[in-house]
Amino acid sequence: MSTSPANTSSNTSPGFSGPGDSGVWFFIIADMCAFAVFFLVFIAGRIANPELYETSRQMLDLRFGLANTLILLTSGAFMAQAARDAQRGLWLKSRQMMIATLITGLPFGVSKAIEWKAKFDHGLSLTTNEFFTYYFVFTGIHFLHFIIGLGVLVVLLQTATDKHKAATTRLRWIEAGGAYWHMVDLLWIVLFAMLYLLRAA
Amino acid sequence: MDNQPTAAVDTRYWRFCILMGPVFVAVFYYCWGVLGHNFPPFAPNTPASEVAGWYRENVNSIRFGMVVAMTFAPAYGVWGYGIAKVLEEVVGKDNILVQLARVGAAWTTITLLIPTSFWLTAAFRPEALPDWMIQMLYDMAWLLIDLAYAVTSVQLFALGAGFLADKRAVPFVPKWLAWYGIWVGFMFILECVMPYFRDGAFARSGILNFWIEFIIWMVWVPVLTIYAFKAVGRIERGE
Amino acid sequence: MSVFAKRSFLPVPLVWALLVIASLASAALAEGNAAPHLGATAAILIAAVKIDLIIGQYMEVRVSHRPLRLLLAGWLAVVTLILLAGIWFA
Repeated sequence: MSTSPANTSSNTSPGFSGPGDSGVWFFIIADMCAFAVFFLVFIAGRIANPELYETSRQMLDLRFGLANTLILLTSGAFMAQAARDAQRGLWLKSRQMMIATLITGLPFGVSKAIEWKAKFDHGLSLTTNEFFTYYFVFTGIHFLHFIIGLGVLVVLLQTATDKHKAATTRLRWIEAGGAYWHMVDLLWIVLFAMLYLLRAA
Repeated sequence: MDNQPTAAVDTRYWRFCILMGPVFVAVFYYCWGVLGHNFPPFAPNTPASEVAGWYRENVNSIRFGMVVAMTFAPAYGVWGYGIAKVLEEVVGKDNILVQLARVGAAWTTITLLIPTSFWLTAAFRPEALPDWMIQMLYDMAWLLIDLAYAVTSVQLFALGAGFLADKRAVPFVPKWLAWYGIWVGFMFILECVMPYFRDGAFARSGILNFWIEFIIWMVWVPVLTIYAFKAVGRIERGE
Repeated sequence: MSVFAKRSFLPVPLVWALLVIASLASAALAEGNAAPHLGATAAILIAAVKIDLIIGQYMEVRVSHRPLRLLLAGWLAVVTLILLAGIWFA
């Protein structure tokens, strides 16, 4: 639909070169670093106890993991398009794309609920073993990020058509909110690989 | 939003109040942390006999640590009011964020006073208490200090949201620091799983629920203090 | 640092298609007949490529956005190494 955007993202943070808002990027990077620590802790546990982690990994349902990945990638595509439309000043279209982002993202919550319920029905919980502690806590924290992201999207629907805000401001916030949503997406990509795909011998 | 050069602001005692933040951190670290065996704490799977034994052997230094920690707990609240007063100059005296920043600091003071009194109780007559009871007092104090995190999140979010609204070319508090505080406020939610674990990363002594959680909060205080001091100077000059 | 460094933005549907194919491929490789270490390694490397795509194409952080791009690339490198260590040191 588009190659190079008509305007680059505008940003009023002095000295900051990048889309969106520098302060929001600080928050995003901090959050990504927190998750990097989570990944480190998980991998340290896996190295210490590969059999436990493999046995537990096999109790996960790959279909849910894959579905969650595809849902977030699709939702992210609409958000990416929304940002590009905003760069062109196509505010109504941008808003429509963000509505699509929300609608295609919501099934993530449904999938998560079904997956967790299935685990609970099998008697698995965050105290079952170390793998499942990390599985529930990290996907749970990720899910909270997802919920906050939904809230951010709802606010951005308003921002896109807010006549009281300058175009540069609206663009900045849509890009910043979009960056957050893409962070939720990329963190899930790591979680999917780490929890579901690390098959041991 | 009041971003005009202000009419003369009453700055008496302000710097003293702001200074109380780093004073609190230093005193609390030593008295609560070192003397009280809380930095880091006993792992939850430590046998009661070991916790009780340590209490009986160190009874006077524990009492000292806890009484000083309790005396200096209000220093955190005083600091919080000093920071909230800087926020007043950003969002206006009437803004509810200022009130939330104050009350969050005040609530945090309470949730530091009460658990320190439990540790003090354990050290009052440990020779007469069964091991399990000393352990329970230790546990109780930790469950409160950790799970009261949300009162501090209120302060962190209010300050964060308020300082983000600063329209000055050079804000009193930089945006990244405002976002950092908001991030810390959210990170605290990990403490919710602390009661489920006797060991590992999420236990009260674990890498996540102790080391990361406490350090990210404690470093925030002196950094914000530095900017607050500068802000007071700027406010006095009418900026 | 990015394979896509010099390109302009790809159309969003193309990026999406690449990401979906990569996701399906990584699942197939990880669960398939390859030796577990190799399948898992492939899955991690594919995940890294996906994340690089998201950073460059969804988030639109270009190489010209130097400090930010370096930070994100550094994060991706560290996380990829951590995950690979989990495969090869277990």
